[in-house]
Amino acid sequence: MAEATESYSAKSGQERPGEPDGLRLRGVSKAFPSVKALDGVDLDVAAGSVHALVGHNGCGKSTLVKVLAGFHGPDAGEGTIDGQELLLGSAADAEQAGLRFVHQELGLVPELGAVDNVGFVLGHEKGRSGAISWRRQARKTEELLARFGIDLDPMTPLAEATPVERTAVAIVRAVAGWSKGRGLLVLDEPTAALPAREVDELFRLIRDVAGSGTAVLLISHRLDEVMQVCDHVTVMRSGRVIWDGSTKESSVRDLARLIAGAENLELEAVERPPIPADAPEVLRIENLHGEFLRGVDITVRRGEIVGVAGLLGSGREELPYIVAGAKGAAAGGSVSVEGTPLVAGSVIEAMSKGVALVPADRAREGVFAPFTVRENVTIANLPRLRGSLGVAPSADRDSAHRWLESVHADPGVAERPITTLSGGNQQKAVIARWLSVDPKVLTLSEPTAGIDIGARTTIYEELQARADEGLAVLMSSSDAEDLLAVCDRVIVLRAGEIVAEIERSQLTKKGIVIAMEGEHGE
Amino acid sequence: MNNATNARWKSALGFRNIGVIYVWLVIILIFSLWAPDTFPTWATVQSVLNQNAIAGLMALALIVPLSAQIFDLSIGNAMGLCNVIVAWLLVDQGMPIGLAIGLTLLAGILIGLFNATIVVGARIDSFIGTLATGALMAAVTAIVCNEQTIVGPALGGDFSKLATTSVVHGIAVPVFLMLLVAIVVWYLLNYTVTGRRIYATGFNQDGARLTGIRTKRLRYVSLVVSGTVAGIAGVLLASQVSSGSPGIGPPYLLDAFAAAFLGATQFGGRFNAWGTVVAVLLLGTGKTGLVLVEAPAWAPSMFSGVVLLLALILTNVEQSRDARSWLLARVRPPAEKEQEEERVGVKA
Repeated sequence: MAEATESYSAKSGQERPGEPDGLRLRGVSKAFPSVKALDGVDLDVAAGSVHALVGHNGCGKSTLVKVLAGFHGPDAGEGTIDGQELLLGSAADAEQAGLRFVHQELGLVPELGAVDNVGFVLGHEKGRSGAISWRRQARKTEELLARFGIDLDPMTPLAEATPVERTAVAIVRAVAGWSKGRGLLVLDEPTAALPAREVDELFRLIRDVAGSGTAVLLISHRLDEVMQVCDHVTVMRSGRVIWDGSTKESSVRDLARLIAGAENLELEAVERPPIPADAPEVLRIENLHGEFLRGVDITVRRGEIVGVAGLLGSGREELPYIVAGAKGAAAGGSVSVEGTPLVAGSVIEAMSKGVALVPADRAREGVFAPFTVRENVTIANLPRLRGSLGVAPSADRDSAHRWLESVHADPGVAERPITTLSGGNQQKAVIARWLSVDPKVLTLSEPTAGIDIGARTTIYEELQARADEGLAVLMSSSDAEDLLAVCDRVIVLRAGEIVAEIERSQLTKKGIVIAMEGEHGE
Repeated sequence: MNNATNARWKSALGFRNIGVIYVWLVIILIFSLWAPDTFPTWATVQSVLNQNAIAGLMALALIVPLSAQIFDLSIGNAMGLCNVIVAWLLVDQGMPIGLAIGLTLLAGILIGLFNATIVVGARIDSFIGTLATGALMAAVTAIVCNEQTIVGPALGGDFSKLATTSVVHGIAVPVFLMLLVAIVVWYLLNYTVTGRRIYATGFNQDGARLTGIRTKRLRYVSLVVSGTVAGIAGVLLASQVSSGSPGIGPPYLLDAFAAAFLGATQFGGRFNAWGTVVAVLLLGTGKTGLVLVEAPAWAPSMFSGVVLLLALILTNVEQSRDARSWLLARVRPPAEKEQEEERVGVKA
């Protein structure tokens, strides 16, 4: 402690021979008007290592990243990077000290190729006249990507690249421009948008970056990935570090327990009673075709939760959208609810027949950003809240409170802008919205993307409770945990066709993955 | 419970929520001290209200499409066109007043339909699309009035009474019409399903579509609303100044947008009717005050620009919650920073 006190009076930027390389944070605190987001956080990320930062949404890890990036100034605390003092809360200092950030959204311009996306950060190669030399810029970009083992035409718009290639371009351009020191690379949920198969490719790249002596801080919700790629892990809860150690000393189960707090761990689903054999069929999908789907037949009975698994491009993403009328151009086939066929491609039609959709992309399709939580919850159900004089504020409020309570969200947040909520609570609000229309069929796509284990568990429980009341659920997810936790039956798609149908009693993660990949045979 | 109520009142009366009202009061105070004989009089109240009612109508007309994220940049020209149409119908065609007004309002509706067809039907970005339709309207305006101001006895008499008749204490019809439209827009946006859906369409069009909202129809209708109100404003203006002249409409465009955006910084931070009305009156009070203190001709423009920029900047600064700490990290002198760090260090 005495040593630490001494070092606090050092001048900014001064060399400190005793300091280890990598990032070192001491006593970082940050309070917002409503919440103490960081409370004396210490964090050491050794040079050349991959270090995971895990915890609930709202545990403070995003605030910590924002402090590192210089977006927030901390109330207290200090940091060093590779032995140099780091002025926390200054974006310029963070940049200069070699801190680099790749956010979940990547910050790329998909209409442009790697040449430009790399050029925007590292500068374009110029000719003698000062104009951009596209030939030299393309060669430089190609070399840069090749250095990290990425083979990608630098001129092709990134929209045409695979998700992992896009992530790689974002990482390469972040780390390639380092002028001094070994620095720190912060990756915020880099695998959230990646299909399982491409994650390994990304991890190879991350290990390469760490191998060059850089400290890597990885923010992730996926604990199995954390165990796979990271050397060290720090668990945060309520703004404090509650555990810190090597991944070798830990397991997914331990981490989950630490993250959730002891009370909230029952990730394994409660035993679900089998669906009675005479349960009537609610949703019938026949010979459905779409952009990816090549003739799919699925039925969902009353009270049944049917999961849909599949790799990117298997048709898994579009299935709920087509069923809910949100994606037209179904080249054939039919969807019917309780025997009544739906006119394809109309959300209004699907809603009127009792089909609701919880979309995959919460920010783009699910949440109305400047609306309050209340307005977000009731927007789909407004016609039913209409009195003789328009929407009565009391009916509006009561409905929002009731449905927020039904998904175990605090009704006290109803009048706050929805953007002030964590991702998990936003998702609960979106689910509350769709439960409020009293659907017969609830379709969901990626229902737990980017949300913490606590909110996940609530959502699982809620889906099961609704199913027990008779709701038919069709849930597509790239996360096998979702399917394992709630589904009575999982349908596996490959190349637009059903390749396996697994009953709950036979359901294993391995079984799903093998069926999705297909190469190992069935 | 009591605390919660207190907090709610505090935030309801806070600068962030109704800052424009405080600024308005300060402006009234300043001019009252500056021109104590002429400013704090009933005549000033009359002139602020009567002279800004039409601008208020225009700004309110913009609120509906703006809430759906549509910029109607043709509204000034639309109002100008309706202004010369009604004058032309009355003076050159000798039409009875009722018929002329009816046809002009119909023209306003058609203008709105035309805008909607371009922006929603042909899917042209509203910003550039209404700029183009506005240019067309300017051309038609010039053709209708032959590039000359239309004056004539038909614009005096009964027709001029329409906008100038005092209802109470010298406050004329357009002021009450503005209040009526404000009530309608306020009710529409706050208490109807349609209003909530218009906001939803503006905030997230994809999300709105997935929620079963007919976004196209709402966007279409919102432009018809602005066209129609522009028609009403054009008729009132012709009645107020007893003429129809090219070039009288376009200057209203900037003021209407200024008021709509200034209003949107208030009362909860989205486009809304009462914020807009207060903003129009604030801008109008400033301009009237500047005339009374015999400020130079450029002063009113300067005033509008400064007020609008300040309101927008203040809103932005408040929204970035950490602006203060952001500033502190940069401006704190190094010595003070060291001291604080030592203090923190000891605590640690």
